[in-house]
Amino acid sequence: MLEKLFGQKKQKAEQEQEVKQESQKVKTAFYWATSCGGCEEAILDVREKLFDVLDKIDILFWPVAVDTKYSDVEALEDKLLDAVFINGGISNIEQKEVVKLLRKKAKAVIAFGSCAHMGGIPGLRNLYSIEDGLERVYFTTPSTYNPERALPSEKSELPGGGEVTLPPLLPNVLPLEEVISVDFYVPGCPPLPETILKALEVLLSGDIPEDNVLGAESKSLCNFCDRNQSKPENLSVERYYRVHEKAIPPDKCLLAEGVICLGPVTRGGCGEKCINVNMPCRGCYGPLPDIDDMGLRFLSNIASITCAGEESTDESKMRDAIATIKDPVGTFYRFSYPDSSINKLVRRR
Amino acid sequence: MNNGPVVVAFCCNYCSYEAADRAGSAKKNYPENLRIIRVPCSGRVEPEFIVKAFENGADGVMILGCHPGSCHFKTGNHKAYRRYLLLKEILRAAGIDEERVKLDWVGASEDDKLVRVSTEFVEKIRELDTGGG
Repeated sequence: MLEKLFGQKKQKAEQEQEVKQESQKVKTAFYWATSCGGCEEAILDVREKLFDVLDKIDILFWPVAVDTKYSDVEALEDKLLDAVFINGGISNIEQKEVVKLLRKKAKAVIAFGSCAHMGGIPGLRNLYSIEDGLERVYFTTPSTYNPERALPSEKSELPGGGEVTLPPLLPNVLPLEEVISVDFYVPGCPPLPETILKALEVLLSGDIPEDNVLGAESKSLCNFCDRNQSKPENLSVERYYRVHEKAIPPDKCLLAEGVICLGPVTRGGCGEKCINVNMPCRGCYGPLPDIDDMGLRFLSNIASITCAGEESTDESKMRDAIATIKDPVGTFYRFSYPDSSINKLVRRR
Repeated sequence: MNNGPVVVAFCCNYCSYEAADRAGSAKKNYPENLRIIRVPCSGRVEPEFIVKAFENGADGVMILGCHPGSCHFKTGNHKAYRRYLLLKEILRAAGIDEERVKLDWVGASEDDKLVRVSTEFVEKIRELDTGGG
C-alpha cells in the first residue's frame, strides 16, 4: 500500500518534471508564404544536428510538416511564441493575414531566406501588372499548353455543388518587413545549414549585429572568393557573357571574364557554393551592411568596369558593351527588387 | 514660383556649373524649375542620387558633365555615361519613363547650350506630366 502510494507519488513527480521541461522549451512556429519550399528543405538539411535542437524546442505551427490549423494559432496567448520563422515574400491576402496573426503571437519574428528578407525571385513580378503576369504564366510561356485558357479564379463552383475560394493576389510581392515588423533576418536562397546554425548561435548568445542580419558575414563575397587574386588591378570588360556562352576557367575572377557576378555587393558567408562550381554569385545573401539598394550599387560597379580603360572614350563602344548585358534589372535585382528604392518609388505612385 | 515641374540638375564643378554661372552673369534666362546641385564631377553622381531626387519630389533629373575627353578627372564623365545607360534600362523595366532622366555634355563656355538643354528638358517633363507619362 505504502509502496503503491510512493510509486504513484514518484510517477506524479516525473510527470510534473516533464510538464516543467515542456514549458521550458523554446516555443516556435514556422510559416511559408510565397516561397518554393527550398527554405523548408534548408531546415531539414541541418540533418542530425536538428535533433539536438528539436529536444529544446516545441513546434506549435508548421504548415509544411505539422498538422496545425490557423485556429490553433488564434487560440494561443499573445506573445506566447518565442520565435517565429517566416520564409517567402508576401503576395496574397491570406499570407498577409497569417503573418499579422503570427506577429501578434510572437516575441520575435525572423525573416528566413531571401524572399522574406528582400522579396526574392517571385518579387520580379512587381515589374508587371497582375494581368500581364497571369497572361504570361498561364498562356504564353513556351512550355504552357492551355487550350481551354483555364485561369485560377478567386471563386470556383465545384461540379458536385459547393465552391472553393483562392485568396486574391496583392498587386505586388512585399518583403516581410513591409507587412509586419521583423526582428531578425537570416539571408540566403536558401540559407545554408551552417548559416542557420550560426544564426541560432548568435541569437542564443545575444551578441546581435546592429543590422539584425544573422548567420552571414558583413564583408563581401569577394573577400572570401579564391578567384579574387586573379582579378587584374585595372579591370576593363568590353563584352558580357551569359554562363552558357563562355567556357569559364575555374580559377579566374568571373567579372574579369565578363560574366556578371554580384560578389562585390553581396554578403559572404554562403561558403562560395556557386563560385566553386563555376557559377557567378547571384546575390541571394543580400546587400552589404552599408548598401541600401543592391541593384543600383551593382549598377555603379558594372559601369566602373565596362570599357574602363583611359583610352576608351568611344561612346558607341560603351553602348555596345552595355547592350551585351541581358536583362539588367532581373540580373542586378534577382532577389532584391521588391526591396529596391526603385520599386518602392513605383509602388508609392 | 510657378507650379511647374521640378527638375534637379547635377552640374559638374569644372564645366556645366561654370556654364550655369556664366549664363547667370550674362543675365540669360533659363527656367526657374531648375534646381542645380554642384558636384565635383558627373562621375560623382550615383544612381542612388537620381532615385533619391525622384523620391523627394523631382519630376526630372539632368546630369550635365564635361564633353568626352575633357573631364577634369579624365574618365568621370564616361563612367557617368555608362551608369546613365544602365539606369535608363532599369527605369524602363520598372515602368518609370526613362525620358525623365537626361545626360548631356556642357562645356564651361557653353552657357547658351546650358540654357537650351535645360529649357528643352523642362518642356519635355511638362509634356510628360500633362500627358500622363
